[in-house]
Amino acid sequence: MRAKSYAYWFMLPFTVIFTVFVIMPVVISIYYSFTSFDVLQPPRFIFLENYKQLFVQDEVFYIAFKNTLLFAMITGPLSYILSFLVAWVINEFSRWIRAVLTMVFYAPSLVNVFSVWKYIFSGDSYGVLNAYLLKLEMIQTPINWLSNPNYMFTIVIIVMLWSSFSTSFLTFIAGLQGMDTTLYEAAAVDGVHNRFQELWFITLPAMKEQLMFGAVMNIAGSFGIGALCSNLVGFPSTGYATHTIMNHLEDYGLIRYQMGYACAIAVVLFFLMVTMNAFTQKIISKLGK
Amino acid sequence: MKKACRLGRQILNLYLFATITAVMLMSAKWPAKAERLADFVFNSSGLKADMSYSQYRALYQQAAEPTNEILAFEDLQGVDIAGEVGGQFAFHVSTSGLYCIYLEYMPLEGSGMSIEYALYLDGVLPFNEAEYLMLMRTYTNEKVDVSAAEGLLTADMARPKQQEVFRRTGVYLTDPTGMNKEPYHFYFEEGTHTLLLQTRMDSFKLYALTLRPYIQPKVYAQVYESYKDVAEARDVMIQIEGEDALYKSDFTLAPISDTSSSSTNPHDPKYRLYNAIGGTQYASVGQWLEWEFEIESEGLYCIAIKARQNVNSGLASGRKLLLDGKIPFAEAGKLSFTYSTDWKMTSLNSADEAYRFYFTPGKHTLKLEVCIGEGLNEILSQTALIMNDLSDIYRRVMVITGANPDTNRDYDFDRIIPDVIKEIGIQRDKLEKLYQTVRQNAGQNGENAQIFNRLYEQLRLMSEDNRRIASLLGAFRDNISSLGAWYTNALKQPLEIDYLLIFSPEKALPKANAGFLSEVGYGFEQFISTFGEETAPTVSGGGKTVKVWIGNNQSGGRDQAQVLRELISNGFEKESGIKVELELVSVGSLLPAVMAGSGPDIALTLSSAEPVNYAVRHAAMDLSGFPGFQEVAGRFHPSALTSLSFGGGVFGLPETESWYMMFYRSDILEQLGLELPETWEDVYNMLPVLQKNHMNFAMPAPLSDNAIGTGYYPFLMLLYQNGITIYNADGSSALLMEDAAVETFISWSKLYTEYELPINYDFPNRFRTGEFPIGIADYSMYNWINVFAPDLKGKWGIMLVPGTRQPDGSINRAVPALINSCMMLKNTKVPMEAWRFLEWWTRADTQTAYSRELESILGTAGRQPVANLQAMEKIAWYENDLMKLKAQLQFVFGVPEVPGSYFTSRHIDFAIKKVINQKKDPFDVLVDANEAINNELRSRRREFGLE
Repeated sequence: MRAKSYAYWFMLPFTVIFTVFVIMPVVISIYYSFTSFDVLQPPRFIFLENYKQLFVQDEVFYIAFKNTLLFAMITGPLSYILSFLVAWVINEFSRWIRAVLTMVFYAPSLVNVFSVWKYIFSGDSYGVLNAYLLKLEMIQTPINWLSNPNYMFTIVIIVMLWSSFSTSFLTFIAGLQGMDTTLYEAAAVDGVHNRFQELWFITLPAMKEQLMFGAVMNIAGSFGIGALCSNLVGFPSTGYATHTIMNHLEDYGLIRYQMGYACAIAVVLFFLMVTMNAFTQKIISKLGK
Repeated sequence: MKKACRLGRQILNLYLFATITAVMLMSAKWPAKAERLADFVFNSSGLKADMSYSQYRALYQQAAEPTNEILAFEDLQGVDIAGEVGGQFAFHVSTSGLYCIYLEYMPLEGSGMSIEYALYLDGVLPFNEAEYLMLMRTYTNEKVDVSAAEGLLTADMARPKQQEVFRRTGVYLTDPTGMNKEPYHFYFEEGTHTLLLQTRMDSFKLYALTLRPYIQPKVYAQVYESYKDVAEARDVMIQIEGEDALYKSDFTLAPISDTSSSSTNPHDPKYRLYNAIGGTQYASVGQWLEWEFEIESEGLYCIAIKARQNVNSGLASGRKLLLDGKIPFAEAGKLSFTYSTDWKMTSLNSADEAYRFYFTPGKHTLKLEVCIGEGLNEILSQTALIMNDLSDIYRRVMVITGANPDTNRDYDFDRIIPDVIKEIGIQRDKLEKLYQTVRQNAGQNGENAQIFNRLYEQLRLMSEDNRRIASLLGAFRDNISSLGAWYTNALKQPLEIDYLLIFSPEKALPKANAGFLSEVGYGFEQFISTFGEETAPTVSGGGKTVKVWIGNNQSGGRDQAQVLRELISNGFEKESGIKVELELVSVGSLLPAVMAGSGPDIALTLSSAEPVNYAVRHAAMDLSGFPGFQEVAGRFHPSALTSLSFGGGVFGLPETESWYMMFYRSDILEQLGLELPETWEDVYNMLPVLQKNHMNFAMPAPLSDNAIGTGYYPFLMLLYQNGITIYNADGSSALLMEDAAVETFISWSKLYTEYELPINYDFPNRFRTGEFPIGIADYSMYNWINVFAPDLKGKWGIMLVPGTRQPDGSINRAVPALINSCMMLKNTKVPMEAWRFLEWWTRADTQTAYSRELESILGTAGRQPVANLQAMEKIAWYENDLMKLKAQLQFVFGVPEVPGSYFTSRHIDFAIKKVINQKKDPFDVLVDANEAINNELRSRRREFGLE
């Protein structure tokens, strides 16, 4: 350890920043989660009161918890698989087409496009979807897509999937391009005779690091979902239909100024993410086996 | 058979009897109180002419053109013409014929906008347009004292305030829309006549009224002939900066700052200089700028204008040039400035030679008045007519098919509405002709004319095969609104002026634009200077400093901050010696900043809920204890303070306050034979007629996407109209389980579930197309419609909202107050200074100036619904409409804010959505909402130790 002590000096800047901006806030919010803190007046220590209220009394938290899990379970894996498949297909094209397609798929996650979707799903009879459905006589009166709980959830998932080709997608493309082609030749000699076998036995195991990274990003993304919902269906969504833990946190932190309670929510979310991460790592390590 | 007949007649008689009795009973029950809507309808003393000016002119085409002038009225002291009483003048006309009317007037203090008035001849409006006449005001730059303000290097660095000048002015009575270029001609028969003037907005002093024969200005060739003996001036080049205009017609015509080019004179890469004038604000017909200059030697001069019209591509902006108040020759009355992205030096010349202007030594004035570009007035007036007819076609088809026709059905239009089909053919031919004219007029830029072509194509298809009308109807409606947008846009004649040149003919003109390299260099310099220190002019001094934050949201922003900064520097800081540090911040950062102890002393442009939210956490200052609070509070309607008060304290002051008004399309309601509704009963009764015609009543939508709580205010309106409040007296619980509240909620949901009111819509657009000819909306919509739908002028109005009839026969028209607020933070170290700032900020003068300055930057649509009542009256309103606004104001109630009240709006919103979307039972839903709200209120009260 002493022999390589310079290595620690290299790590220092990052460690300091990481501690100040990641570890400290986590620790501080754990502390605040045991207090009643309305931001403007000094916090009051109440120990487990917040958690008690959160798990026992707060019905909306359960809605948010359920929604978050559902979003994470549906969009997380779906977008992960989609990202990979699209990356795999795109990788087959020549360089220029690949660059263009990558841009096309990646762009939605960069820009704020909610206004487009809001226009499409507008509840007005002149909203794009309503106008078409009315024209095709599928419906008689316009549907309030974004404020009717029957549709909101599905719509949020569609938009989420559409804009989910983000970091993990880029990582997959990079991983696929970094593949050692000699492996495929060797595999062909060894008896691999279709692309899916290639994918399963060679590509996926060789890309484990990228897959891991993508998974972590996706999970963090799916659990942290909130802004997308509130941009699309309003905050809070009608009848809390698409209320997520993140929304719940904002509701308490920014609207009701109950920072202690909001911190308790954040802590729960934090441990939820950590658990999910451990779980995914397990699954990924099984790849190709 | 006979028996049946008799029975029928008896039933009919009975029916008639019942109706008549009902009507009599109703009218007996309605006391003649001021709240009867009919009492608010303007009592014009004259009859309607029902004739447009062009029809009027056609009628008197053969009339003689007299040569004598008639002085109809003169008074050296002047008489005030104000409101409905106005002024009536009798005079004798010795020769029959067509006369123009020349007015000498001085504006009286008022809203600061143009004065609008109407003219009646012998008790009758001679033609419809005579109801909307206009007189301009005069403004000038307030002198900027360069030495007094530190940090100002030149006078161009300060944006001079605009000051109204009251002076006697003479004008011909002209068409304020500019469609008719000549002054209005009035026909007078020999004999005695009376002339009545009534003002609709503001008032003026009249000195003289003259009837004059119209004299056409001479053409240039004729005028030039008379200069034969005058020598051309030599070696003169007078440059007049545009921003130095001595007089102007509007306070919006303040100098502007152009940093886009290094050729703008003067310019500086580092400092913001107010170096030009005009732009998009200098665009409405009748607006003018006037410069003064001095000529040393008599002679013939040339004139050039360095200007830029970079707004309307494909259209030219028109200007009328007046020298010493007169058009020198016909050509100067129709200058035209074509579109260009860069500055252009326009020398005033004919095809082959620069025009010569004769000046005697001494001071002269040069005035540029906005007029509609050559050839465009014909196009515009035709477009207006066609637009009207097309909307009419649209509505008449829609009455049969609805807004979304069944495309598979054959409506058999030929048989049901043959006249509409014929009309489509007529309009098609008109459009084809108009399209050709527009194309010729627009020159190379065809995109402008596309909308005409599209509409023409559509009408062609419709008339060829009228089964296609149904499928094309949606697109047809969109195209009509596009045409409307084109029209509104083409009416504008924007022009930016850098400087004017008056020079001797032998001089060469300077180039309008700097070269490419020089522009690049300038841009680079500008970029480099952004790294330097910001050098905004500030007043330094030993006094205390108040830190003020203005929120960056819908009601605050860069423009607002800049305007406020100038007002503070010129007003508050000078007056009080207190320094103000103004910062533009995002609203969300207020809370963290206050928490960290680095918050401001005062926060502006907040929502209505914030002050009380901060107050319950002991973070907002109770203002009610400050000296002079009673006087300050008295500046507002009491309703504006309700949301800001809690537990006996007042924690904020209102900045803006608006409320619901009813908007209606008089033309459509008249067509349908509908009266304005007085009560909700009347609304229910008119709905079948509206809906049979595929129209609807627009109630503030509870379901607009995204905005949560939009359903809260309409519900409150109905609730308070039924005589109950939302919370109990101490705000500890919601009263939703009261019988009246339950009834209100049920009848409110019925509006949507049974009466099929629209639940999600864009009001201004549907109002314009006539689909929603009547509805309730925030009164700030008034400006919007005025600005963006000029074609609707005279076809719509505002009125008090329908209410609930009380047992004593009166009508309760309660509407909630919608406010914006400002507050003082509790941890301020300079409470007295901060209070002085708030006192200054909410003054009528400050608020009026703020609103006007904003208007000069953002246009009429940026007008503020100021909460200060005196200021509100000063802002331009039609007298008649102001009266209605004030009448409605008496019914405005404040929405109480209590700890946890964000939950009330949220759950009312959830409740109505559940009823509409999921067809839940309104009562069940309301029970749930009531419980959720009351739980939250209770837990918040416990948290804040109120229980």
